[in-house]
Amino acid sequence: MRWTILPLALVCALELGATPRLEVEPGDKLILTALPLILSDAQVRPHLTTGLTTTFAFRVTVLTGGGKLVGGSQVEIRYEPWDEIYHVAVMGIDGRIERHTVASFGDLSEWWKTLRLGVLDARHADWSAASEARITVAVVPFSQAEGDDTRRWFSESLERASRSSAEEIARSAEDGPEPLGRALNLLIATSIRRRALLSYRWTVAVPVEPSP
Amino acid sequence: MNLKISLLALTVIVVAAALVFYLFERRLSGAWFAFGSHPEMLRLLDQSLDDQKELARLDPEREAVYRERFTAIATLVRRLRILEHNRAEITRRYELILLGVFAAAVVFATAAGVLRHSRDSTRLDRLRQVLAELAEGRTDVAVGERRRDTIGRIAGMIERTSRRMARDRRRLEALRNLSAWQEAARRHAHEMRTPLAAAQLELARLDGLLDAETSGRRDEIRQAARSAGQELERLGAFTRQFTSFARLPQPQKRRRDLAPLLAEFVATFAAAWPNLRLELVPPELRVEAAVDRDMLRQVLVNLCDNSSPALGDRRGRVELVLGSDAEGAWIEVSDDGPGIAREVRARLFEPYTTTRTIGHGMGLGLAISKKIMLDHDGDLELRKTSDRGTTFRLILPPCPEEVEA
Repeated sequence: MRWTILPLALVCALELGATPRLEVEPGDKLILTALPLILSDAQVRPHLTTGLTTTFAFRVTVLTGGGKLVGGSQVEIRYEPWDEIYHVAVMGIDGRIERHTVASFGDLSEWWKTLRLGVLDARHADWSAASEARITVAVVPFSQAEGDDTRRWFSESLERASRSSAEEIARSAEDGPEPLGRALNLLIATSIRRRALLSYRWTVAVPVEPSP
Repeated sequence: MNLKISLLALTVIVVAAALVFYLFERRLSGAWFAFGSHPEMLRLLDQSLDDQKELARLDPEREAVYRERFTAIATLVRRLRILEHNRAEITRRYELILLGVFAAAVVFATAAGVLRHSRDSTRLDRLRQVLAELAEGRTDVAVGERRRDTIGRIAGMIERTSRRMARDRRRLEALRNLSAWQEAARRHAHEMRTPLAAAQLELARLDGLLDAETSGRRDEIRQAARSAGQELERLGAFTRQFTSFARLPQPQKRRRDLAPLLAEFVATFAAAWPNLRLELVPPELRVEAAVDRDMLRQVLVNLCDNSSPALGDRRGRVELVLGSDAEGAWIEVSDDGPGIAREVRARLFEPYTTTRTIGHGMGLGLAISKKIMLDHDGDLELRKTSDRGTTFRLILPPCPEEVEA
């Protein structure tokens, strides 16, 4: 599965045909901006309306003469199908979470284009020594909480499936599942992981001077 | 079954089980899981979501109800999508668990098989060793097997056979020994009978001659002749005992229920030995054996004849216990006398072995009894003896079907 993601991501990157840009803000804060519109990707867009929280995990690695600096940020988008709106949460490097509500996919795309993500806060960094930065973004199809909820639900479903009668189900609800059954259910249920749906990768130049 | 066949059988089982595993897991379990997240099902659930919204629009008063349903369906859809996203991983984990269980079962079965094979090999080696000892002439061997499986049963048969061989060997030695003694007794009796008869005739003639004797010593001579006649009579009695030992008849065996036979003995001989009380412990089950009733009775009489004088002036009892086991019937005759002296025990069944004073028995009773029991294909054994009493065991083989009642 992992081996299929890499070529797919490369193809996606080629198709999108654009690269994000890095800017240095005053205070040596590295900002990621001009994000390619990966929301419109044929594999991403249908997923945005499933009702699951789609997470865009950004990771920026800046290669310097003495080593590398690693930073990142995260954007979560969840579509609310009843109200038909998008809930957006941006988690920056400072730990703050900005929440927005967007009414349509068009508005979401516009918001995405203007998004400025703080990805690295390297005070007194010698940007002049930086050669390039590698940017990857992994599209994760659901959040940790949704994964935990499904794991729990799936485990309980397996437990119910192993009970043949209503009495047994009721009794298991009181006593809990048998140790061996519990272990097996846990083993199967823990196979639910937040693997990336796909990922993108770019290599960009690091600006030497802060943007005006 | 040797190791090669075991391994071949195990391989076939493993391959067959793996095939079944593949068919069931890949074709059935996987299909059922796919059914749960089938695209058509997801499409219909999505349709149902739209329906709830439409219903809420048409029926605003019940919007809360439709929204609740909508939320429940949406939650289910989300969970199914997450499962669908992880289907390959879940399937892989499920297969790994099944494979692990299967592998554990195979390893366990293999280990158990190897262990059992190794254990059985050791046990068979022990059987081979014991059989080799038997072939070399050793008897009464012990295998030491306690299990009740095939090897255990074979070991039991070997032990029983070796015990029987040992007993037969002892019987044969005893028979040879007694036969030699019988032949000697027969010759002695024969050699003694003729001069004894001649001497008795001469004494009778002397008695006739004394009738014509007129001297004053006639009465004195007659007294001496009478005394010599009495000694010859005693010698004749000994000779008859020799003869009876030398000419023991073969038993006329008939199938008999031993309990009534012993009860009859106890009743008939109740007063035969004034200082003995005879008691019979009847068996729980019927015990039959092929016996000559009179000869068996003679054995019992001989044993009681030994017990009675051993008590001296004291009163005692003789207990007869009847029983049977896989090797036939047995009668244990126990007294509460002073026991048998240690120095006599080793040659107890040899003729002329006695602890009585000269003139009070020739020590043929136990030898005759032994011979009678051996002629029954059985045996007479000293079971135990101490200062609290003595027990003899009369052993009778299983009664053949062809023996008439």
